Amino acid sequence: MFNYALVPGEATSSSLELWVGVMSLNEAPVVPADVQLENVTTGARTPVANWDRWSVPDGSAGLAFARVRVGQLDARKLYRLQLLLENESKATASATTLPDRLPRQEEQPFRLMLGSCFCAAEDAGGAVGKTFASIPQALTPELKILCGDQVYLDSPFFRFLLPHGKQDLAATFLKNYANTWTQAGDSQGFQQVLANAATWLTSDDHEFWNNAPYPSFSANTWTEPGRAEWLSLASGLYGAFQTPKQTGARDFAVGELKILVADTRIHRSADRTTFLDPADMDELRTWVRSLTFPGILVVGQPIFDGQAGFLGKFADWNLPDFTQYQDLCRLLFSAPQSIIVLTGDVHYGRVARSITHDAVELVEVIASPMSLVTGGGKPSWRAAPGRFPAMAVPGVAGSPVQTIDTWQRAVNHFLIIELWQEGDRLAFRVRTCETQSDGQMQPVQPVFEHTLGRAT
Amino acid sequence: MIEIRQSQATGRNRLIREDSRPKGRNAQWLRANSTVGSVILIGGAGLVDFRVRVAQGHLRHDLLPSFWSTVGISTGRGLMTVPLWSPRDPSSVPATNAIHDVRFAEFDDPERYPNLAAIQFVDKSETIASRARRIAQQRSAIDLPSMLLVWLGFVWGAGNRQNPLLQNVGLPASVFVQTAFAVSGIELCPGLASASSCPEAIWQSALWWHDYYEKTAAVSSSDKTPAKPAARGAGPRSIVPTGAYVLRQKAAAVTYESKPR
Repeated sequence: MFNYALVPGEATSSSLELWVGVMSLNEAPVVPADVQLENVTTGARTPVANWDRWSVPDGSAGLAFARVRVGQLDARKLYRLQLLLENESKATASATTLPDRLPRQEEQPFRLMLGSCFCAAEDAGGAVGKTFASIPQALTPELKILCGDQVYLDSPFFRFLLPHGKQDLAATFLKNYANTWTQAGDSQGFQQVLANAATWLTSDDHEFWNNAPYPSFSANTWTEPGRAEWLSLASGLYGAFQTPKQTGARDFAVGELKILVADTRIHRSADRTTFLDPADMDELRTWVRSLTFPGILVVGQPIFDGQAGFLGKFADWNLPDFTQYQDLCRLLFSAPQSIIVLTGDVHYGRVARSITHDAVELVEVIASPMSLVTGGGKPSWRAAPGRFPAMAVPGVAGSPVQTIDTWQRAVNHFLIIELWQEGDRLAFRVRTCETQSDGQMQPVQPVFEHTLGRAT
Repeated sequence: MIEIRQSQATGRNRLIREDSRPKGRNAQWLRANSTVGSVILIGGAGLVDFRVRVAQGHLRHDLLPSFWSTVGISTGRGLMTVPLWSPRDPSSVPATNAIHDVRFAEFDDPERYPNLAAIQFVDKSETIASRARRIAQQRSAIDLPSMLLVWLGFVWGAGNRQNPLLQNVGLPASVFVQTAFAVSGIELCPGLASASSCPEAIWQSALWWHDYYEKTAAVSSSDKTPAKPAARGAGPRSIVPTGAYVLRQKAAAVTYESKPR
């Protein structure tokens, strides 16, 4: 049996990239003949070509996938698309091209969804998709940033306390991805999220295993060959389903607003000195220096954080546990413009800000989790450390961090961030969409609203 | 608890030397041992000094009072600081952000001010002094009078004021000095993980964070991410702190009382 999925990927103001996947869990993946992508809005059809495949070692299950670019589109226009197999619709999607400039104050804001940490097995009712599908039209995201842990390959954890063979691991991972990418129902399921709006996907540890690439509780990760084997399988699937290039830094722009998505997981060095390889760090450095207007930086873990220290061996190393974090701090403190940092990972939502002594503002917005995986205990919210950086970093005169105290929730959610330009200012508003109830009233008003001026 | 960080240094900074036989009175010593932009630490023996010195004990592992009760930036003839004592004209506070120039002569009495230190943290320290002046016009960036009120309440025992350092309110003089260095990219209190800036934190930086400043100097000279040239390009660079100090009253005590007029 084959499962089909259509997921909008990265977009520009004139094009959309669509990911087409044909998953088979009990037979070899087959590249289907006569597959077309129809732009329902324009009626244009594009043959799906350049198929690739990923299979489990014995070839008994796998995925055929392709990425199709649909071009010559209008800026900031919603397009409906469908996947046709021999003229029969197999999957549908919708996506809006990027605006060619930021909306003005009197126009509808540019809307971005931020989410992280989704475990399909912990969201059997499809609540995340249901919440997404019920977003009022005026707030429907035009762009999604899913900044890590879109799958939990090592969940449930007890299943991995004993070692698994390569075939078993591969089949388990594939099934996990297929369940997540096809989770559907009546206006519910994660497919609602994936199939609607352009998406920038970046990884965190659970695209691989807890605390990847370092040893963790999963028995396979205790040896170097075990980690290499797991990493190879998980990277193959990550490239197939999520992000093909697997570069540490990708950037795009909406008018004057520059956005850089940095994957701080995939290139972590074995000696725990770096989370970005030198070329990606250079790209980040160039990006920061090039800012002439406030920008957005996406990373996999918070920058307003302390070192995990000894606990990092068992849980996950934080960015400050890496030597390169000091370079990141020095870079941010030399930024010519204010930066909004979007991130996830920590299982609570938070907004915190710090103003450097050059009057450059750093605002960190955390959205986590969409669907919680926990080893036990209730999730708890934590304020940011009182200073950034929380440790002494040579060459950096730290600055106080103010955590916004009106939003302190540790509940499944994602965020909708509205952005617009007011003259020389970037204005933004953060709203939370909680996907489960913890018995308390979820905030209906924006949890944070702010403007950042252009530094001169 | 005040959030503090442990220095990794195994020994104290030998470039900070004690002057066990200071010549002359305080003003002469301060003029001889400081240059424009030096950090001046002063430990007094009055009641207000005593209370400030005891309040800073929380930054010390032994909880003993600090040697220091105020701090400022040398102008060559005096220091820029935020005095806790009443300014001559309270109306000047809003316009100056509570920052005042106090002549060295006002600290001249060794009985009233037994402890002194003059420390260099940067190479071109005169730039620090000129940038510090700008803070007087930047109350929106750093509101020193609001901290002053909290500290006056504490040292006078007004109401139920607790130790401000435990509430993350730094001593205004110290916050001013720390900020003056921070705008040049120099961290004056690497050992503090909170906003509880105080003279003791600066003293500990000078004595125990020399490795940090050595690394900072190395980073500055090989920096791949230089700061904006207009802001810092020609600015001061961090050095391993160097300087001198005089300690005539190690254990804080009120040994000086103003004579009633």
